[in-house]
Amino acid sequence: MPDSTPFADSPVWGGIKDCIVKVVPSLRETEFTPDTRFDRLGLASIQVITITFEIEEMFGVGIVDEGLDVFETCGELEVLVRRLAATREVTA
Amino acid sequence: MTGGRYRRPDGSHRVVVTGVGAVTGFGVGLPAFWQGVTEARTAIQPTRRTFEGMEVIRPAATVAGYRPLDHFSEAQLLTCEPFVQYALLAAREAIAAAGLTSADLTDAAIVLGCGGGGELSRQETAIHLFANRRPRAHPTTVPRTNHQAACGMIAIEHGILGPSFVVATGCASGSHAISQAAMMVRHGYAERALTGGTEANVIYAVMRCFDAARTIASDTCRPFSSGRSGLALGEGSGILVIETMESADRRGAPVLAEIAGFGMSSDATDTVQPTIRGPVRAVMQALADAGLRTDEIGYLNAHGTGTPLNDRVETQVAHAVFGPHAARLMMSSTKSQIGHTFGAAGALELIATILGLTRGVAPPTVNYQGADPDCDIDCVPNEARAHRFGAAVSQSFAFGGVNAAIAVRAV
Repeated sequence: MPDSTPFADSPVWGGIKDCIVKVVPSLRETEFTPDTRFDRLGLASIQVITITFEIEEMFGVGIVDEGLDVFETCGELEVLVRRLAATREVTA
Repeated sequence: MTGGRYRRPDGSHRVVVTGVGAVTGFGVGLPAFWQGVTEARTAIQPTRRTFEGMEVIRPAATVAGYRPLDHFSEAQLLTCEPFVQYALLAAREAIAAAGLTSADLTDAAIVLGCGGGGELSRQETAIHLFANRRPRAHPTTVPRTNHQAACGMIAIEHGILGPSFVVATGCASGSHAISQAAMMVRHGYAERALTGGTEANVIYAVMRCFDAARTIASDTCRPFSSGRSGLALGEGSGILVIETMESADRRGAPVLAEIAGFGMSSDATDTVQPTIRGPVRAVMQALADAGLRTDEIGYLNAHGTGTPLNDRVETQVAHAVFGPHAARLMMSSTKSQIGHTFGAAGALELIATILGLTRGVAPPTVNYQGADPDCDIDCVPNEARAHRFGAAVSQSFAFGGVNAAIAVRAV
């Protein structure tokens, strides 16, 4: 995915959004931007941990294993997942 | 104040029930439960569970019309398995019925029975790790499966800071928990307590496991009846508010019944085959603890699983304890109506007993299709019976050969 792809059209972000909605269905209609902060979504810590788990499962990446569960915004998370997924493909 | 109305002969507190709540196969709430009981209906029906093309259909009573989002937030549901949700709902109802607020409950105890805890999440995690060969377990597996989640979530919801724990003795968990809570209130460790039991494990793996133990009925649960073939699974929760009589009077609270005595025992014989001596010991202890004669007991809520062996042995227990009075004793099984709710069974069955005591109705044994000479007791077949009684017993026996009986008395 080239970096010029609009955030909303990013397939990686689409997958992440699916994970978020799977854990918190009431966020289905929420408008997310790259600057949307996770700590402004009113989520409990266990919800954030579970969303992270779902993303790891969907993309086959290890966010927690790499000590990287420190993202603050949706944009940071999308870049992180994209990078980890690309690394996995290269390694494979 | 000491003596008289507020103290037992040994000087300890008299303990009374001032509120109850229930979630059963008849639905959420005590009215649905009691209506189902008195209308002699059964919530048991063929229940299907599947896994990847395999299916199992067995008789079970699951909570009718239950919709979690009607009662809980998404964040709560993420960490609360159904067994916790049911306990929370029953606790809300019991607390409201007792006329208590969170401020009244700060120092209360919470003692609940629960047999299996979060079996649903254990099953899903096992599939994920072993069948799907995934390296990570779901992060909520631990908080969801803990038995004590039921206590913890009730404490969180109502701001309760007192002691809270779970008793896990399988089918006897609820009766053991209530006995333990009553002991604590009796001796001043807490002035009031939330107690009872909860269970929600009508899932594929559990059906297969009880099937393998040859305990599930081929059609439905028919305790003490000819043609009975086993138990039906059930789910739900029963919660009671208990407190000292002195506390109830001070608050002007409605007193439903006194927890007059309890008895607990072990068979010390076999892990799955019940004995007579263990249950007899528990019931005799409960009666002695309550200061009740056998002929004062008008109604007994049986363990009554509907297995050929349990009901035969339980009948022999009744004869051994009550002697000639066994012929006059009404002795029914609520499991014929709501299934075997395991950790919740002792609590829901005591609640049925207490409502029967206060309303002059003996709960029935439904699905009864004829006499079995091995079960020569009056099991109140197929119809609830208008009949006043002043004292009653509810008893539970579990695998492992562990037993508990509770005697209640009208106040």
